[in-house]
Amino acid sequence: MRTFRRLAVVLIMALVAAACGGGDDDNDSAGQTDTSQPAVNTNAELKVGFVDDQYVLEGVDASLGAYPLNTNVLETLTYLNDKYEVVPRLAERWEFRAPNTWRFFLRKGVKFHDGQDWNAQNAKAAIFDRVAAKRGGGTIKAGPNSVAIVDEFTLDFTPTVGNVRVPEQIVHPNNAAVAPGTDPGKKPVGTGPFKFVEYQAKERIVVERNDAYWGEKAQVARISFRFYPDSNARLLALQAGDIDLAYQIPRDDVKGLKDKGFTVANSTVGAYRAVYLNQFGEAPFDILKDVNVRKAIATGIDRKALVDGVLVGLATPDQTFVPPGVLGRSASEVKGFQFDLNKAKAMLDTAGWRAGSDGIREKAGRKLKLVLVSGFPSAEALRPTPVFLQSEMKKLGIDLEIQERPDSASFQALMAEKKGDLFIEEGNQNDANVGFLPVLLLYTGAASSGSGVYQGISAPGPTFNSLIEPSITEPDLAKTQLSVGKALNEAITEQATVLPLAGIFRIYAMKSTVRGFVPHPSFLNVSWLGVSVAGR
Amino acid sequence: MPYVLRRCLLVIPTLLGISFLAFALANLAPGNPAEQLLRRLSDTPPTAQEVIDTREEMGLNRPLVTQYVSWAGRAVQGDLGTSYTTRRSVSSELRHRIPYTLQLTVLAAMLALAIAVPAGIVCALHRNRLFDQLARLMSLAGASMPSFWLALSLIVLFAVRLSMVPVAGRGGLDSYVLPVVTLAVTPAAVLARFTRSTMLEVLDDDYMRTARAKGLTEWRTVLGHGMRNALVPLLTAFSISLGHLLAGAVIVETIFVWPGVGKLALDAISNRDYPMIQGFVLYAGAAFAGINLLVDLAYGAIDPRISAAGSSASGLRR
Repeated sequence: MRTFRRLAVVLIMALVAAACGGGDDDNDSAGQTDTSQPAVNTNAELKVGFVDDQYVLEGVDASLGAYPLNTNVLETLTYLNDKYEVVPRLAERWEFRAPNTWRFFLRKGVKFHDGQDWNAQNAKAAIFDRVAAKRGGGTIKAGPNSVAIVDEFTLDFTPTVGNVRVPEQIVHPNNAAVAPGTDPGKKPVGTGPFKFVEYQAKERIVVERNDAYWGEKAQVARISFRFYPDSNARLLALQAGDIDLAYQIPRDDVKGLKDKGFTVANSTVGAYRAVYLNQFGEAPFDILKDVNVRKAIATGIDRKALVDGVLVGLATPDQTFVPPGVLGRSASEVKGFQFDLNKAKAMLDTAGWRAGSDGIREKAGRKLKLVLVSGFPSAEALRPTPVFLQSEMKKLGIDLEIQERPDSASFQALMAEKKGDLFIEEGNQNDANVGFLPVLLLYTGAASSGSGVYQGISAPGPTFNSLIEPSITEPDLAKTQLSVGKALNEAITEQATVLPLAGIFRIYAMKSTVRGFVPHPSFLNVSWLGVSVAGR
Repeated sequence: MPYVLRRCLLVIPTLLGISFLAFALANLAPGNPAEQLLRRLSDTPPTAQEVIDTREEMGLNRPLVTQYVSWAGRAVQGDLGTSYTTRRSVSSELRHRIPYTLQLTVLAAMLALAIAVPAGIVCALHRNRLFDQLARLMSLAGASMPSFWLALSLIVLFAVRLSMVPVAGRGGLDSYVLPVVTLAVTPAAVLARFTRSTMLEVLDDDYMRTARAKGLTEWRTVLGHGMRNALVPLLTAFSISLGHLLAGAVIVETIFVWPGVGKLALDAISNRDYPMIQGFVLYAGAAFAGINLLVDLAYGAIDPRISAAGSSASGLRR
């Protein structure tokens, strides 16, 4: 027995010693200070940690290697750069031909990975015929007879309905060119800087450099993308040296990673956190019918405190739910609200809500109690912002109850039933179509196509509709941005039916040996072309 | 009708009942599967018309009972439908994932047994001594430790600090270590406590005293007579643990990027992927029913008295 005890003590001490002794090893494999500046190794393999594997592998929606994780095997006609600008890719230029046709001038000297030529005939099959088979003809509204071939490298695309936003929509990887006669759900064959190697569902997808690429060649020989649905595991994989670069780093971990010598890079705003206010609810969810209460809430939230504290500085206190990059110069059209607690209190006083004995405001014997529903994309992803809002509302004398929903489906079900006063969500902007979200979510005019769920609680009304309608038919981007900017101001500032809280950055972390990575605000459009690995 | 055949036939209505309950519950859950699918396909909110068209395409406009009968009719022919999210057949998804879950389950179950049974016996033989106290403390900790915490702690120690194994992912043999250990800890802890208590019950029985009086060594007495009698309740406890392992360990599979059925079920629920939920429930139900059947048969092998009584009173076996 004594021998056993001794053995147990020795074993425990050895384990503790090993665990403590390993502490300094963190940086050995990963975050060393890069003093020697090793040269770029073009034969290196880059290992990337992504979130969950959500590829569709069968049917018309097959998206292996393209969406949501873009491995750069497939390419689109136009590309969305990290400033939300639409730039040429497989099309060198394009022009609008009234009333509803887009002429694309294709790049010459491009080949698919299987040797097929890139030309108008193959572009028709590779993009437009494929997208036409999707339900509704995809976002670009392609139909079976939408394409007319003008010459070998020119084609005309006429959507099935009026669509002036084609170049901005077609950047989405779902509209990428897949070599005719190949199966994008099993082995994607495209024109991109990387070629498909292998895929293990829910585990990894591997690509290798395309040495016959039409443009500048990739800087790494191979990229192995591994799926880590759990953010802690992804982070630990980076620290253990299992991966070189990781997507979607939790904000709270940024400082720790930097301290350990990792490079943390954030994009410009690519998502937004906003609250939709229910102005059409029935009791007990009818308090926000009063625009003055809505404006008081918008005035009483300290966005800077939210950004600096809860979002640890990795966001901006934007007043628009379309990223400013997409709105361009017209972002300044959206005035929003300056934080002023006293003014917000006075606005509630004027609206008839007076402070009660317990600090909660009352009107005609009714307490100012509101319900905030959180759950898009999930309640977990939004924490602790709802608690911050609860604290801000308490300062105003509003009792805010938080109802968390486990997933977006149950969140939207509550929104559809209008069972809540405020609905907080985090949404993304993955293309350059400036009016897409406002039109889809808030517009109720004749051309409305939205599901009506958001409109059911937050539609700003006829003025908004008339302001945004030009964006539906105007091909000129600057005019469209202006139209959307003015409409957003109506929704956000004048009607206060949407309350943007912050613009959200995409956060990536990598070893110091990774060079040339451009943090993209849209996960779907990350480019691996210029990324290199030094010294391995 | 032979007992085994009767038990096998009973599994069919059981599975149908389970699948109907799962179907009803899934449909009661808030959320529109058509909208979920469309959002997932492009990361943008769908239009109203798209949602209507997709609901029609998915057959969700039909009455619930019609949907269920149609599904059940195809299921008995082996067609579990097509997943809303991956667009692959549910049967093929399950066929692809079950082996991964089985790998973890078998290894974790073996590890749990290898630790729990000897530890439980030693604890019972050395009741209230230091080893017993320590083992009980450790089994209490093991049984109450959240698996996500244990998984992350093991990763930090053995993968990040000691670089002995990879953090996650399926690869060489070393990639099995952490997920198997994480999975095995709870059943090992529970089974160790169970083994100890059942052994304590039998150690002072008359037949044990008789065995000792006949001159058998203590270990032969314990293993040959005591353990055999303790095995029946232990097997029951083990079968329950095994059933849970076979149904997939969502947290372990998520953290360790293990493509098993647990993660598949979680994704199906959050995507309102009704065919996949149905398929998973059917699989999990079949796994539990299969284990119960095997355990019932094993009782007879362990204890001939049960076998003698079993053919006429099988309902009393558990």
